[in-house]
Amino acid sequence: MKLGWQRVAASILLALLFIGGFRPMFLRLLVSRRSLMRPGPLSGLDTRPLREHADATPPELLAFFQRIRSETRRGDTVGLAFQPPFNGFGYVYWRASYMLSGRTVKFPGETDADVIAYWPEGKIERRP
Amino acid sequence: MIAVLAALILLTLAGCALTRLIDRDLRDAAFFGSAIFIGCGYAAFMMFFLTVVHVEWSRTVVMIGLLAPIALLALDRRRGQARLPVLHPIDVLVVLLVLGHAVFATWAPMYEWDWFGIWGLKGRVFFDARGIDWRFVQTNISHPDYPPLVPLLVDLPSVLRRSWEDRWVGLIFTALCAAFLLIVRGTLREEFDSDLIASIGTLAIASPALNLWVGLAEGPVMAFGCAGLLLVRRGLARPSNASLHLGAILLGLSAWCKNEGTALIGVTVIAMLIVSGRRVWRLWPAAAIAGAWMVTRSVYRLHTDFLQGNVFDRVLFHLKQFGYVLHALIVYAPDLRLFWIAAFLTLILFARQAWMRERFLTIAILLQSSLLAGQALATAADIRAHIEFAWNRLPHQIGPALGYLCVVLLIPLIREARSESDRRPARPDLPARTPSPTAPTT
Repeated sequence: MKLGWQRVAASILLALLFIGGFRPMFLRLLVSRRSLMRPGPLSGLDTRPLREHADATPPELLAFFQRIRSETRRGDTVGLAFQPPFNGFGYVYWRASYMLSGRTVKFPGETDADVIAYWPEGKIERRP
Repeated sequence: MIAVLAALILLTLAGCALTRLIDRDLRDAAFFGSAIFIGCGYAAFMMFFLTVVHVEWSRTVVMIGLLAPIALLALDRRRGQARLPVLHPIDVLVVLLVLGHAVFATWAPMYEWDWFGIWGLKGRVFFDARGIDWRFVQTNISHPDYPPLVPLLVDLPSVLRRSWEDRWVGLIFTALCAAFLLIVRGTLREEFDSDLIASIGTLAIASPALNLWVGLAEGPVMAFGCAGLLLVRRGLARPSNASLHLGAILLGLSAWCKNEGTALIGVTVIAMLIVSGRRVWRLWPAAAIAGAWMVTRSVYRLHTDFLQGNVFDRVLFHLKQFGYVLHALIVYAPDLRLFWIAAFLTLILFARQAWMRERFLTIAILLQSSLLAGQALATAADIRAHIEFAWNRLPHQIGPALGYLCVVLLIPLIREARSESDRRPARPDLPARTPSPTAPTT
């Protein structure tokens, strides 16, 4: 057949497209979410989506952010005095910015703010 | 969850009414897919407009805005366009994959870095302010130039439920991916006149189209952009300009998701100039919609960090380390590698068929792929780190369209070889498959 090799090649490539593009995870998730329960990187740095793993940020820290939110007002500035591994201009800084939306979260190291939050002490100090 | 589902139902109904006005020939799956896109675009623009006229977002105002176009459905006497598509047994597998994605998108609240740093942060600030807070956008270091469609969309359910929602909002991301798959299913059905082949083709690209980066604009820019390309391709095969206009609107909306959407409009124009230059101006809705964001950006002076400093020098500097860059691109290649290999092998082995039959899609996809790879050269950050953390995301923005191109190239080859009689046109209103519907018409 004149087009014989093309048909064979096209069939193989279509099959490869199927196999190569298929994500069994979506079907697996309908039955069990166990694969998602392994904690992801604490630093939030990953080339894969973080949702493929459980949230690695400690729940106590998330509850602390909620406390800061409830004890501050819109427009307040908040300084973070966090100990490693949560200090610096990293994942937790951005997470704090999100959870404290409406307030200005100062850059790490800046303490010129209305409120200073200390972690792991869990202390919230309002400046006069 | 109820607020997100209500938002999705309302915006789809609004989208149904508006899509009817744009393209009356669209039917079944492709119609519903387009309706979801148009509804999402309409909802985001409505919220943008409310901010422009200084009306605070509230449940009542947003509900009125969403319900307004639905009145058009009652006035429209023409029925049948929104008929539910017929399911083939293979479609059940696609539905299961979509449901799996919905589980993935909602199993926990969002915690992607870029959700906290860009998309969710803006959405939450806008929700707190009950409108777009331009001062925040201008002063925050978190990519002020990024378009607002995704933050506005994630705000919609929160406004309806009157409190912030960051878990079930993942369903919006699933809905956009599913809308793209509906357009794939519908257009393949039109093309091959077979539910079996259309469902096989849709299944082949379902997983790459169900974007894993939930909470980021990757999924929305992929869905709007790839769907826009498919509808422009469909429009090129028809004397009516309706599908071209609809495709152009979706491309314009992709520019409101992420800057890559603007680039996609550019490559679509180039591909269209090569394939059918005299109809290129029919893409005006894309330029108008993207232009509205450009004007907004310049009014508020929202700078692009990517274009800060001397871009040309950075590109030259990185080009001098081309081997190093190429090595990083290979090491950090996107996942689904067999899919990418099969796709590019298809384009290499069947380059003649791609050029003769699918010139528009081939040019647009190759140009956009080159831009996605090449943009790393302009980065102001360390190029290896840039590639490491971006290169697994960016190619997926065009991957589903590439998969679609392979499907429409490979399936006819398999069918043609089986029977010469299969060369008849799929539908009487379409030209014969050889030469291609997207072959040059000028």
